Amino acid sequence: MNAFTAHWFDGVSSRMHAVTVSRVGADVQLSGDGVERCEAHAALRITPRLAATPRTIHFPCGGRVLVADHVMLDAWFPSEDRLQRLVARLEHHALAVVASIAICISASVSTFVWGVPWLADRIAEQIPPSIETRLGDSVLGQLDNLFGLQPSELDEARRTELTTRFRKLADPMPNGSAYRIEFRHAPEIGANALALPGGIVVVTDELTYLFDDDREFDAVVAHEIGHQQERHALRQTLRSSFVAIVAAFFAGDVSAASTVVIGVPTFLLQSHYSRG
Amino acid sequence: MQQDVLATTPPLPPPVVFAYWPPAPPARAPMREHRFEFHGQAGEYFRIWIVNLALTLVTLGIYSAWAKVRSERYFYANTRLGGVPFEYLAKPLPILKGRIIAVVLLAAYVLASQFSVVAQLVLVGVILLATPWLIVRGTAFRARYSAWRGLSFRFIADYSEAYVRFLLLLIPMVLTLGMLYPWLQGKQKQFLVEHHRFGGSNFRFLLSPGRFYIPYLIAWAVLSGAIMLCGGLIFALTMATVAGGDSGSAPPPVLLYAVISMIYAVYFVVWVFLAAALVNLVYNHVEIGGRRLRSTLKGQRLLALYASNTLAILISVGLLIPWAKIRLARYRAETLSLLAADDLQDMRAESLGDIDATAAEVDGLFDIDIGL
Repeated sequence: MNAFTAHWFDGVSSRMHAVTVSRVGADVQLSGDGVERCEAHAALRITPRLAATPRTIHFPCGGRVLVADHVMLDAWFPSEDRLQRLVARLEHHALAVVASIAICISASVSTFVWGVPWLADRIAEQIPPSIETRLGDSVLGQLDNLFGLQPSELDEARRTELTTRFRKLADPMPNGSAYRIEFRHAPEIGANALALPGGIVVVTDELTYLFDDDREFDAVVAHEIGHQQERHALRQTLRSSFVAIVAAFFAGDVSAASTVVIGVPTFLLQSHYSRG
Repeated sequence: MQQDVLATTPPLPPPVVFAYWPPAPPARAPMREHRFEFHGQAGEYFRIWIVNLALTLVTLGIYSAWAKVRSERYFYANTRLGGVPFEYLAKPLPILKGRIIAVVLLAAYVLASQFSVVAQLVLVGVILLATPWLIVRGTAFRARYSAWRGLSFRFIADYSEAYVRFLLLLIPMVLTLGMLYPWLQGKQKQFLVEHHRFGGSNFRFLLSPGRFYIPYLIAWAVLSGAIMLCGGLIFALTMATVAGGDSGSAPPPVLLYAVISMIYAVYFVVWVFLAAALVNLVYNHVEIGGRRLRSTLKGQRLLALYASNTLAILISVGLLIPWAKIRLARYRAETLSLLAADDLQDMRAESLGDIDATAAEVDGLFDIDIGL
């Protein structure tokens, strides 16, 4: 049987006609419900297959036949839109679907593992030192607030002594004269040293109490200066901002992007650049 | 009662009867409810979505235009009004063209920001000036390629009015510190609704833009109340910590985080309820040739839907996005219906004669769709 039932819309009125569509040689005929129509098969266009959705056969006059998808349609229109035919077959195959999942997952993983760090590093190279210093100051301000950092309780002489040791290590490095050290009393986070963007090195009072020998201070500070040389703090801040922006994009809530600013200090403490 | 075109044969049209008394005025005719239904399946759409995504990645984004067409067609074809599916008729190439323009503009903007502030500002100006034009073109594109019962929608392009409502009126809105925002939203929605046509009738918007103040004011009141409450909470916490004689004067960060996330939660809830109220407000005041839309979105249901969707997407690292979209489309269709006195069989196609020739030419040149 080379015919099927379908619905005809003439493109001029919204009236729906139940018709029988049949193939007669090189022509397609519609009949039923007051419709009698004959059209050359070559002049017809059919929409590509898409899951189980109905397909539409477009007539040159603007009319169309709406029909449930059926294998017979493939025989009627064998050469219609090869690309989308291929895609429809892919969607149908379990293996192709699994491969697609693998492609998507590996693409997003590599974006996060290589793409984001690469982009962040390229941007970090472009950021002028003045902006980095401003960023560092604002991060320091947030750290003070969020982790209850307080002015250092070390006496003036001790601070000068340690600052001199710091300068001796920092100044010979490229750009090192722009680095500065900040002392903080930190009852909440305890003994720690942090490298912030813009060459700021934060050392907590609690850490200095642990030193038996100030050469231990040198070791810690040299480590942080190493972070500064590689601009790890800025790069990590940019990376985590990208991650938050991408995550916010997928979650569909851009307002989450504003939490980036709050996220920076915590990332500094947790990031893999930090002294684990 | 619903009929499914693909399963059952529709009844024959009623015979013409010549009455000897004048017909009742149309307003008196009993309105029948024609429901919207959505028949999409999450599993089915997942296959389309994941193959689309993989092919887009493999072709470095070029396939995205085809992906968009397949995805839109799936949602249109599975949305039925009175048993008859909608059709999305756009071709991928014009969409690809629109996307290339968008990407080029974005790249130009990023590059310009590297080299000169002036070039960047010029580009911002160009994008700002082009926005109303793009809104009109994009809406017209979507309308033209959306069809139901063999008839296409139409959007009458009125550029001067678009520039007034999407650009010029922004100036007084900014000058009044946003107090005109709800009114402007109303004006913009009114413009978008009233320039649509279908089946030989104009869409009419039966709402004065000032009515948009009501939902916005309620949302604003709830939000500021909540923020004041949270501010008070932070203050109380601080005082309690100080009074407790702790050495520190700031409350513990954990509590601060809790209060901040509470503010975000309130913001999310208010946003969802506001969105539901605005959608209902707009749809319930649309009239198309004596027929009316009815939208009954519930803020609570929408909130549950959005919250569970977000959670599911996060936990599944995005793989449940199709499921989330299908659920949302189903709820949207469930809560929408068309009230009409007739059987929707006698609407007429929009004649092409009333589009002026220049507009048609421009249509040919800039047949683009910017929507992502």
